[in-house]
Amino acid sequence: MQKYISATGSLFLLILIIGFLFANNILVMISIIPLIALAFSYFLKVPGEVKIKKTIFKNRATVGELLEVNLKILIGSGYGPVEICDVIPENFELVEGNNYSVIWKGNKVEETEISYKIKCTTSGNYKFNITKWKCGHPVCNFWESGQVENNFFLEITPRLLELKKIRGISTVSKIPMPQGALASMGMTTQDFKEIRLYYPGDPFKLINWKVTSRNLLRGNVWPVVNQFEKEGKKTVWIFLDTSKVMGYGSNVKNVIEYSVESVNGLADYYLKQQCSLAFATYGGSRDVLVTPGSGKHQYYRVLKELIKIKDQRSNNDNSYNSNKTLYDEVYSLRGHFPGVRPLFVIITRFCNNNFYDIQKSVNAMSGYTTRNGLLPSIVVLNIVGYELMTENKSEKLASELLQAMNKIISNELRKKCIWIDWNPAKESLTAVLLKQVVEAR
Amino acid sequence: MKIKIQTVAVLSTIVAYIVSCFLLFTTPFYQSLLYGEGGFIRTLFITHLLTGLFLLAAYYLKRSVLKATCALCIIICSFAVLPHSKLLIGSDEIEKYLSVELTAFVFLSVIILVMFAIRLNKYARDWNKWFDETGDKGYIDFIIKNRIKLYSAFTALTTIICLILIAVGFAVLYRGASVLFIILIAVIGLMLLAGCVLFVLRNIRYLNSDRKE
Repeated sequence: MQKYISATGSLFLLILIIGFLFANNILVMISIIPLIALAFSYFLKVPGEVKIKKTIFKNRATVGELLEVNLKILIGSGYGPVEICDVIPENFELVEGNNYSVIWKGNKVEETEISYKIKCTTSGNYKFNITKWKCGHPVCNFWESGQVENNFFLEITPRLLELKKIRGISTVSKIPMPQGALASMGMTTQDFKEIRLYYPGDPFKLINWKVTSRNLLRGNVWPVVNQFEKEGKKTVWIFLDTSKVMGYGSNVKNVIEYSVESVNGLADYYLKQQCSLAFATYGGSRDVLVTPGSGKHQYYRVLKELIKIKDQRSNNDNSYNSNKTLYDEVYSLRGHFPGVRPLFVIITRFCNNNFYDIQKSVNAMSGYTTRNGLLPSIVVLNIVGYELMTENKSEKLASELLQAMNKIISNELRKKCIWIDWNPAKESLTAVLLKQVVEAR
Repeated sequence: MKIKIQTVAVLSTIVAYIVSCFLLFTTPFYQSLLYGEGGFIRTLFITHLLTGLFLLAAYYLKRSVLKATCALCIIICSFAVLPHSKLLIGSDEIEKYLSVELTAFVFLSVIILVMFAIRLNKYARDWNKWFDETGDKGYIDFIIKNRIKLYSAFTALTTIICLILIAVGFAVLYRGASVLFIILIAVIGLMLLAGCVLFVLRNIRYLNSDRKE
């Protein structure tokens, strides 16, 4: 309003002064017009006393879940048009209704309601507290704006994938499922493993006197001991790539969000299978490490870290400027691997830039894990994100070409680990994992 | 509704242009060009050619012809208004073509038409913006109609006040107003001026203190 008053007042004075200077009565008469406009702006008030009460029925939801937002608007005074806009955070999609409204404030107190539904596409914590308003003067050309703040915070958790065991069919899966697998460290069980030579430090109660005396008769004087299996849970290590490579896709659908979903689903599944799970990220500005643990508590520890992972958008910059590579991460965590023979799961978006790092890391991991048939227990989940940004046929063709090129580049690497390609634009992760299951004969 | 508003805005601008051309024709300078060396048709042609070039330049630079036309109308009218200044040499000559009251009335009508056209254009833009955001045609039409009604009331009041001023300021003053009357008018004028300056300054100071809080 200040700008309007200054401009109109200046115009009035200018015309009046010119009129006086030139002794021109017509100009003096015309100068009354901005004066009347000033009078109107002063006596006819802009709509004011704007009160907005926002209600959201939930403050915690999963990705993709619909949330209903309701606004109760009260305009107490003034006369004129009012624009109301409820600011929706960046990663939310408006599904139903409208978060913007125009209202005419007449003689009476104006009360109205706006409601709409939104859907969040990325996990995280969001502030949902600003509603902006703009009140216009009914005659003069100025608007007054302001905002109302309500204390609303939304926690969006990643989607949980429905991973279930297929029963009734004899199947073989390419993905190593560490059910009941045994470790080489931990408490001793009653399950007999083997007989071996006595080493200094072994408890005397383990000495197998029968076999030792039989060996004595053969001329072998060194005692032998019974070796029992160690009680231990199979450990699963999930490595999530959070470098700029994962920022591929749009604001609503992007690779990092799908990768967070897959970690969430796999973590939930393995923890329910009584495995010990660890989680680490690499390549981002903030590296996360959740040390091995099991149970529901471990799941919530992982989920808390997943919610904090933000999409690092790179604006068409495909450079792999990671702070810590996967190999560096594996090297720094190598103290955790000996003896537990973990299953490694690497979740990334394979491209030319990270080929050498993944290759080096897979080679390093192979030394710490068991073999599942011919391949080591290393799963690489490659999230193919090219189709997430395609809008027309030629872009889709280009994405297919890029995928084919990546398949050729990764050909050697696919022979060293269990490679799973997941195109989120075409199928869900559940469908992709089911494809790895074949009927046993 | 948007099309109706835009049509009225364009018609207002055209009428304002025609009226301002009429004002221009009544100036001694233009009359001498029309009936003198320039020739009637050639002068008209050059005038409208210059106008057209100005509007083309405005469209190319600002993509707005309406505002450029309105500015052009004011510029054209100034050729008829400024010669009525008492301090300019030869200011009496224009009185032979058009009296000062009639010039004031025609100039006022041009100003009102131009203001109306610009305001209607703004309302059409607001209609567009609100319809794109909300899609509620009926309610937006209702808001725009209310705004047009209020602006029409403002325009009508302004016109009445200006007509009274024309009547008092020119007709009464020029036709034997007493010295006392002139002094009274001058005092009222000065008080009005002082009051406006004070009002503007006070409002600016009030808004500044409001912002600091």
